Amino acid sequence: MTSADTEKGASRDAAPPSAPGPGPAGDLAAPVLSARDLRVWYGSERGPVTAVDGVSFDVRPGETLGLVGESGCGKSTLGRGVLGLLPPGTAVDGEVRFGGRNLVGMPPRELQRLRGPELGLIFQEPMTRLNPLMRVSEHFEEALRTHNRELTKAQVRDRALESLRGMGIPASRYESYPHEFSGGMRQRIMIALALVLRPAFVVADEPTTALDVLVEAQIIQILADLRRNFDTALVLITHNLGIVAEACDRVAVMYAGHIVEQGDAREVFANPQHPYTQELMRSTISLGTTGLHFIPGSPPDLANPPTGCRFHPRCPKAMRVCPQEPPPEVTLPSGSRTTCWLPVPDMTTAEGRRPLEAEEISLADEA
Amino acid sequence: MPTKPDMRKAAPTADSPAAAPSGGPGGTLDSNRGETLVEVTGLKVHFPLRGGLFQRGAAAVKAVDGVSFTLRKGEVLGLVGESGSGKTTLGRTLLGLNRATGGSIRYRGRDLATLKESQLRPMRRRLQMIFQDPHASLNPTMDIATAVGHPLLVHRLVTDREERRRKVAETLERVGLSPAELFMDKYPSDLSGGQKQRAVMARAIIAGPELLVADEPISMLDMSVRAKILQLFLDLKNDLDLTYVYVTHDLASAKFFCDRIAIMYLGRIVEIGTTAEIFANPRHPYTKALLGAIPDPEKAGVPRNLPRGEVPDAVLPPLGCAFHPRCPVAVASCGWEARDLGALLERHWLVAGEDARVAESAMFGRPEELGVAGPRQILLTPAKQTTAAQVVDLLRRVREKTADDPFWRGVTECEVRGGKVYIAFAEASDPRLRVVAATANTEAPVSVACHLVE
Repeated sequence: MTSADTEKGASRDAAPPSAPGPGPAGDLAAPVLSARDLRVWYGSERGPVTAVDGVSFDVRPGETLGLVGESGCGKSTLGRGVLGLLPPGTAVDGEVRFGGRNLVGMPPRELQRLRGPELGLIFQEPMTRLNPLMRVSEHFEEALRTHNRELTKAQVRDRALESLRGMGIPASRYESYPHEFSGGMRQRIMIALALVLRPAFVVADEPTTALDVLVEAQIIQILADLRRNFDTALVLITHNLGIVAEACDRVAVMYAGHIVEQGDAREVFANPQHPYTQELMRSTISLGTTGLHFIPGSPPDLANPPTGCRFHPRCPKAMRVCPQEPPPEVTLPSGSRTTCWLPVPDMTTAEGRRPLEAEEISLADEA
Repeated sequence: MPTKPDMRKAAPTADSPAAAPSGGPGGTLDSNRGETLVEVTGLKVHFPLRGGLFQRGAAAVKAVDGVSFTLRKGEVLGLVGESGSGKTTLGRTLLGLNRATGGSIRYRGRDLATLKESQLRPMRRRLQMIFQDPHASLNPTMDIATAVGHPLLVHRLVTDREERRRKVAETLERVGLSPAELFMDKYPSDLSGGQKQRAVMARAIIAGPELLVADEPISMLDMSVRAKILQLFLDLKNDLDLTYVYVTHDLASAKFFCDRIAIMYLGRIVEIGTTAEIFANPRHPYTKALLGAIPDPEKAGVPRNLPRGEVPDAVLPPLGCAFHPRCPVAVASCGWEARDLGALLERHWLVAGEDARVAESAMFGRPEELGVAGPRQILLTPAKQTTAAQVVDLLRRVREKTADDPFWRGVTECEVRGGKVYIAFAEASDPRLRVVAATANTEAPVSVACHLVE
């Protein structure tokens, strides 16, 4: 079911990409996948938790969208939700348009058929996602035969080897077991498996988290080549801002179930508009770090989120209006979109723009 | 053995470590500040391999293989490397949590490498460890007050319960868990990751340590929490006059946090020096590769040359310089051997395609000959329908296609000999850690183990 946008109106409209949508490549190809007002929630002891709350984004062919945020912000849930891979007891609402169809509410069997040839997922931990009792070859046979029973063993082998070769895995390792590979090689195998059916849309969930620095850089390079060579639309979920800057065309910053800012990756990093993006970037330790900075407090409990803007209790620029009403989504001249009261003075009263007296946050009250 | 050895500053025992000459290979004092706290010389930690089908004889994983450095009081030394570099083992061995199989660790006039566990125990009051995973380093069934106060019991530093609770409360406040009463009776599961790491810090400092080994203390925390914990480390260092060994794979935090950095690769230090110098002028190709691989918002989109492959198996490390199979600038003497030829052919076949691979790999009668480690000269057996001349010819063609590969710099001969293919490699030598660019009045800020750096 599609919930029509209410107060957030025009800028959030599911209109064709004629709006000043960010298109780094300059082409305005139709999105491969469009999410509109997607919500995901599940039950907990403390009541329903809305892990993803009204999120909209588009991914075009050959484009990589980085989804960043801290643990618990809903980025992984969003990635899985888009693919319909959420555990039982989870409810999804909104719309995920893919190939003219809405994936939300699609019968599981039909969705299953799309996963593989159309939709792919690259997991965080390659060691736990490959079956230790199956050779690499058997993984490929399973993946390919599930979607095309007619394939002969030789055809499977040809396609698998081609896919593996693209990832730098020599053919001599085709009959090896997962434990015979290093962590980086396993992740390459995972990627080769996800891509062997050439899906148009892939979600990569923290694909480099468990890997070493050099291997991480290798994998990022592979993902970057991917979008150039195969026009794959990729959603890259990560908490590492450096990876986003490096591998993504666009970025969506998530906080407490909302996308608070999205836009061209370079633009967002050069000119972060939302206070959370600014604070997150300042608190990240990078090579340029000369002093430590951090965001006071901790992300909110999603079973009982703050009123208005969810970031307001930690926001250094919070105004009186912030806890009162949810902020509007604003499209800025740069093409970035941000959900914040700051850039829209004409929508607030002078009283509403007075600074909010922050409550004292104890040092230990942290994530 | 006294239960409370008073090791406060003034009186180190007769054989004071300060008297030891700092002539060790890793001694890279950049200035005269700070007395030597720990002097590590030729430290080795080898784990013997047992079991399996074959008698492995003396086979061992050389987790740490001849490491020397000096740790000065009040400094932060970073041990940086990828998994398998031996950085964690080295950190643990400094505290006697792993047994050294060679070399020495001089601390306050004693050699920690040779002490028995019963002798080490009282010293642990002064030598503490922070582990990577705060969730795993606290006992889930022990409340915070008990966990944090435990070292006081173990080392019998307090006499009654009241005093212990008071001390625990004081320490919790000090690490930012304030008000302490709010946390004393909680269990680890009630705390967030950052709070747990603070509790772990409290436990580590409560007995009054001098040296803290912190093994990836922030890598499991969220980006926005990392800075807070790192700040805590800095505050405690200043307040309590601590010395840190910071074990990490994260160069960005090491750059900010460490005074000096040791870059480790496969059990050895390949480069050690002041943080400023290492980042401004990385000299070892591995250091350069690591620095180039850091994703950084500020230099996005910069193309980089990444070394191929991953850290090799420490059971049978590469000949010569362990980094040579991945090194883009390796030279003849870096340690080329038969298995490097095998790896080169695999790379060639990845490019040449499946048909070429099938045809060309069939020309080798015994493929296992391409995986041999060690000898300077090898003989390859051609397959039945193939002559040695054809194999030599194949290798010549491969060489033309991969002319830029450093491997060929190490091949001195490749010819037919007695129906086989004879290949000779240049003599290998193992680069030693050498001080570079020493100036007149100070010792050089950096030592490097690489043939290219004289």
